[in-house]
This record gives sequence, C-alpha cells and structure tokens, in this order.
Amino acid sequence: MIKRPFFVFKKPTLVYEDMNQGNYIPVVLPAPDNVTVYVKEKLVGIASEGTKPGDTVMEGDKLTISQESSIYATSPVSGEVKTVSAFPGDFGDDWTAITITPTAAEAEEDVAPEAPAKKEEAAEAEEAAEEAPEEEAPQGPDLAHLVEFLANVPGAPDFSVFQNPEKPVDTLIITGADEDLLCMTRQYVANSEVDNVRAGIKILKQATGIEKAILTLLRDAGQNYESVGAELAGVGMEYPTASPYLVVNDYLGRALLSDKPFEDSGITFMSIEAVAAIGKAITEGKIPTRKIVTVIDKNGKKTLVDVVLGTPISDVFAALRITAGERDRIINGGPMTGTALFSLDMPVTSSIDALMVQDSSNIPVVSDYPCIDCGDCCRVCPSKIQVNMLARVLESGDFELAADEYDLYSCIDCGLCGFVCTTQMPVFQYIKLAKYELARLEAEAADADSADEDAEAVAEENEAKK
Amino acid sequence: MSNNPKFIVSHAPFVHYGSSLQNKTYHTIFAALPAVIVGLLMWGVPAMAVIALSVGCSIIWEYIMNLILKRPQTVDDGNAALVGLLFAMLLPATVPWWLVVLGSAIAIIIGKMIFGGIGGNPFSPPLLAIAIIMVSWPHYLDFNVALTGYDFDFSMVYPLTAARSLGSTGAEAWSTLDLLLGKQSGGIGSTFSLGLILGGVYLILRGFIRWEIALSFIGGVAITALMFNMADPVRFAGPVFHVLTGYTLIGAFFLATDDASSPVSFLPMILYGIGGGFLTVLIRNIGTYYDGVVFAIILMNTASPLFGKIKPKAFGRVE
Ligand code: SF4
Ligand code: SF4
Repeated sequence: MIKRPFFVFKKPTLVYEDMNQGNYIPVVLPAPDNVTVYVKEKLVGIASEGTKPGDTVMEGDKLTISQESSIYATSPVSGEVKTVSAFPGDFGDDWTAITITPTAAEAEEDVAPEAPAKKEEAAEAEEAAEEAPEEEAPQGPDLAHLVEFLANVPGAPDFSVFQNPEKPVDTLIITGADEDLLCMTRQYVANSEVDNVRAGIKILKQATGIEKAILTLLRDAGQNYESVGAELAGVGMEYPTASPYLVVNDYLGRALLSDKPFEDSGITFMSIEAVAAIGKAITEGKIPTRKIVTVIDKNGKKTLVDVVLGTPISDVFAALRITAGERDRIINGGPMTGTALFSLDMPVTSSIDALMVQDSSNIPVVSDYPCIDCGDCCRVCPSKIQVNMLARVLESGDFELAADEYDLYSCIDCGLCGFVCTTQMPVFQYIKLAKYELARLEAEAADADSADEDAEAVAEENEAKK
Repeated sequence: MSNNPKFIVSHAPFVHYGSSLQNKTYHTIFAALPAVIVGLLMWGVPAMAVIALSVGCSIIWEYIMNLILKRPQTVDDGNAALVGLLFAMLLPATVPWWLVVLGSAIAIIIGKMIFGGIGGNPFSPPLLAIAIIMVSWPHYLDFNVALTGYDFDFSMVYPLTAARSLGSTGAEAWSTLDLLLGKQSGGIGSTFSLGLILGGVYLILRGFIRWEIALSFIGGVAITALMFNMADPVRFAGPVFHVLTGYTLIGAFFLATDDASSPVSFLPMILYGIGGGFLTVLIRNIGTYYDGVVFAIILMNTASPLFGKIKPKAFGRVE
C-alpha cells in the first residue's frame, strides 16, 4: 500500500488495481469437502422437506426453511445436507446456515468443470437447473423467474428493488469497475465474460423494463462493449472515482446524499458478475455456482481464484498456502471499505469479491489521541467535508447536529479520512457508527409511531368497554 | 465454530498512510535545529541553559498535568518538547531562570493542557506564553537591555527599535545578508533568518506545515511594509527588513502554522496568513510594541474559528 512519500506536494493518490499490469489467470479450486450456504431467514423447527439433514440435494436446488417462504438459498453442489443450524447474520439478523457434503461424483466433475456431465446424478442436477429457462426461453425470462431461480448467483443481484411499486427504479448501473483498491474481481469478469454480460444486460432490461443501463468500466476498457445496450462509463484510475456516489454524480449529474438508499432516487446497482451470471444461466441453462474472488495475501500479492460458492474461506487460503493465525486480520472486501471477518469457517458467499489477509505485525493501530486539527482529512475528502469539525461533533455524540450542520450525509464512505489521519483517529469509524445509529433511531421512531397508533387503538377500545 | 485463531476484528480502513503525530513533531524540531544551533553558537552557554530549561520544564509540566488530570501520558509525542523549544527560541539568552520556568508553565498549562491537551488549544502555546510575559514583564524581553553583555561585530541595537526610532535610516545599519546570516540582536532562535527559511522550506516540502499559511503570512508582512514604505519612505523601513527581522520568520513557519489554532481550508488559511502579516506590520509601524508578530498571530488565532465558517460546499448539499 501507498505510504507517505518523502516530499508531499499534494494529497495522496491511491489508484485502482489495473489487471493489465499483470498476468492474472484465476486459479480454479476443486469443489471442497463441504459447502455452506445461508438462507437469510430464522431457523424455526427443522428446515423444509428436501433441506433437512440427510436429504439429498442437486446442484441448483432451492433450499428453504419453510415451504411457504419465498426466501431460499441455492445449492452450489449435488450432495447430502449435513447440518442445518441457526447463524447470526449481519446486524443482528437471524439466518440459517446449511452445510452440504458434495457427492464424490460432484467433486470429480468440478475438478474438470469443462467436462460434460456423464454421471447420472450430475445429469439430473442439470435438468433441475434447466427447468427455469426451458419454460420461458424464447421470450427471455420475466422478472418473476429471475427472482425465483437466480437470486443467489455470484455477484448477489438484488431483484427486490425492481419489485417495489413505491420506489420505481429507472436506472440500472452495472459495476464493471471494482470499488475498492487491490480488488480485480469485477475487472476480470468485465474482461473475460463479454458475451455473458451482453446477454445478461439484454435479459435484465427485458425482465425489468428498465431503459437506462450504465456499465462502469475501469478507464477506457470499453472496446469489447460497443452497442451492449448500456451506456459505457469509463471510471478513472484514482480512488474513489468508482464510488457509486461519484459515478452517479459524474454520469447522471446528480450529487446524492447518503442518508437514503439509491433506490429512493430511482437508481440501483448490480455487480457485473451478477449480470454475467444471469446471462450465462439463461444461455447455458445452468445456474452458475462458481465465483471469482481476489485474494490478497499478507505481502499484498493478489491472486484471482475461481471457487464454488460456499467453499470455506479456510479452504481458499489452504489452496494458496496462506496461513492466518492469532491476531492477524481477515477482511471481506478491500483495504478501504471492507469488513473484518472473525472466522475462517465462513464460506465464500455470492457477494464476497475479495478476501484480504493482514499479518498482525502489519495492522495499523488506532489511537485514542484527539484530533489536532491538521486538516489532512479535509484536504483528502472527495466530498469536501470539514472532517475535523465533523469528527469533533461525532466524538461528543451529537449525531443529529452532525447530520444537519456538518455534512455527515455528504460522506461517500471512501475511508480516506481515516487513511490519512495524523493522529490515527478512527475518524471513518465514527462516521459509520453515526450513520448506523441514526438509521437505527429512525427505524425506532417509525416503530414507535406505529406502536403509538396501536396504543391509541387499545385506549379507544378500553374507553368503549367502559 | 471450530478452533479458529482469534482474529483482529475492527473497522475499515485497514491501512494507514503512515503519518503520525510523533513524526510531525520530531520533524518540526529537526527543522528548527539550524536556527537553534546558530543561536547557540552566538549566544553561548546562557542560551543553552535557557533552551534546556525550557524544554525540560515543558515536558515536566505536561507530565504533571497529565497526572493531575488523570489522562494518559502524552509527553512521548514530542509536542511538549517542541513547545518548550519554540518558547526558548523567542527569548533573549539572558532571561532569568524563573521566567523560563514560568513561561513554559504558561505555555503548557494555560496554552495547552487546560484546553484538553493537543488539538484543543485556541492559541499557539509558545506565543501565548510570550504574549503574557510581554505584557507582565516587558523589560525582560527588551533585547536592547537584555543583551548588553554581548559584543559582536554588528550593531547590538534590536533592529525593530532602530527602525522605530530612526525609520529607514535606522534599518540601513543591517545589510540583507547580515540579517540572513543572523547578524542581528534578538531571540535565541529567531535571528538566523537563513536557518529559519531552510527549516520552513523543509517543513513545507515534507507536508508538515501548510505553505498557504507560511507564505501568505510573509506576503502579508511584505506587502503591508511595502505600502507603508511607499507612503513614507523616510519613516518606514522596507519589506525585506520587516521580513528578516524580529519574529517574522519563526512566526510564519513555526508559530502561525500551529495546527489547532489555524484554519484548514484554502481561503481561510490565506486570509489568516495575510491578516497576521498585515497586523504585524501595523503594530510595528504605528502600534505600541516593537514587534507585532506575537499579538498579530494571537489575534488571528482568535479569529480562526470564524474563518472556519467559510467552508466549501460539501458533496450533495444545496445551499
Ligand atoms: S469517508 Fe471520510 S474522506 Fe471519505 S467521503 Fe467520508 S468523510 Fe470524506
Ligand atoms: S487528519 Fe486526523 S488529526 Fe488531522 S484534522 Fe483530520 S481528524 Fe484531525
């Protein structure tokens, strides 16, 4: 990573990884001994028929907790369900983790993914996966079908944003440029899956009815994408130009605050990997189950891997001979905006683009020193926020004042302020915490409102009884 | 979850630029050394004693204050030493020991610690100390009286007094080269102009201080002095004289650039610097004090929060 140079004439310039600077061919990992997928729903009782421990599942099968629910996971392998257990998801949500042991045939097939499936089970699996496209093939699938079958493809597309009548979405931005430093996953997909991306864009536009699609690509990598059905947006090399906020600002001329999701403004984002997966699923009649992940080892060396979804992170590291021990740090995502993970048993999910390992000796300390007002953060902030003032207000805990007067919501979450802070204050952490707390308070207030109404109703009832 | 090692779980960003407060203060001390060393050669053992006492006391004051206020120790960040050094650089070599002890206490305790330590200080701590001494014990800071024991091959009259009483004729006693090489009377570390410029340029190039403040301050002094000089060339000395005498250079590079008491955005920094320079010459030429740097910067420190109100329009804000 970039360090403070001897002479400092201007603010630090961080640049995105350029794949063309190296020879990056993904390492294809075989199917692991077991895979884990999450159903984003609370486990009640035992899972539904077909998803219980001991049940046999096929690659592409839907895994559900209850028959009625529309929430599902997609089995990335054919095999036997080993365990179904409750799992604490993000931000206090309750999820369910399902672990599947692939059958030997599956494992073999995956070693040579190109080989045509001869074995009976594998053929069956394919059939199951083909169901969806077969029905609708000529017209292309409609949105309901995408929701029904492709919600868990690599790249984690969120189809629900297209189904909300209150917040119609009219612009789809496909991100072919990775948003964080060192990551190359999307760039790789943009370079290598041109046909699938083309097909995916066509399918998505048809299914969602969205007219305006934008495809972001690092620098001017657009030569493969002429008349792709999306406007091409060349993103600069300098971090954080690929930030969703800056892309929206640069290409749609709209500077949006971060207090509301993009969907409120009719804009939504989708990873190019999801678009390619959708294209591939429909053209090949098989749900893609492999994902590209950029792995960054302790020395900063980057390797692309091609893994079966659900592969434990420990398997990925083992294959690359990366050891992660006590007091090291494992990061899902890149160095500026990723999130730290606490266990190597966690699987590669459809949304993990990068995994980074930091050696314990390389982890910068966060200090409890106060801000000295050097202003480095203000000069580096792409949103022109007076971060020093903002940090003071946040330290005092007055989040609302921060939002009203100190431009909290102008922040585009790039992390640069924390990166440069002279006293190594956790400036960016304060900002994230404040945004999270405010969102929570807002949700609580909304709850309280409805609770009030309930209380009123009860009071009225009591009145009536008297 | 099986036998996983304990990983460090914390928040992004996971990397750091590598800048640090220690780095910044130690480099600032380093940058002050040319001026300090030439000062020591000139003023000898008494100067050495003043510097050692000031630096030592400042560190001790900060240490004690942290104990009293039950705060984590901060002396290793070097800022107390820097404050002590800068304070000593402003003093005449013959200043009595108790004034050094007292001054460093003012700088550290009133200038910094009661505001919550580094970052909270509304004034540059060494400047606040020197300002209070200038008001309370002015004769100890009268360089013409204090430095009579020294005999050099140049005029031992404090240049700013000469300019005040004799106008530009008085200023002619020093060539520009003399002033650059420190052949003038003044504070221990504030006379060797060339050294201060070298140190300042070093700090600017390394990004430890803001060029906007330093250069606009010098510019403010030069332009204002030039205007006075043009209005009345007999009574008022020219810009070069004003830039190279008194506390102008140490003020521009080491005092006005104090982080907490100066603004951070471009326009406010420029206004702050020019304002400080303007006031400096105003006080020198028509005010009560020979050198206006101290009060000029203190005044601008006071105005700094107001400058902070001139802020750039943040992303996505419509105002
Ligand atoms: S993370 Fe920091 S630098 Fe980036 S936009 Fe937000 S406040 Fe500015
Ligand atoms: S970089 Fe850190 S110390 Fe400097 S002004 Fe910003 S928050 Fe304060």
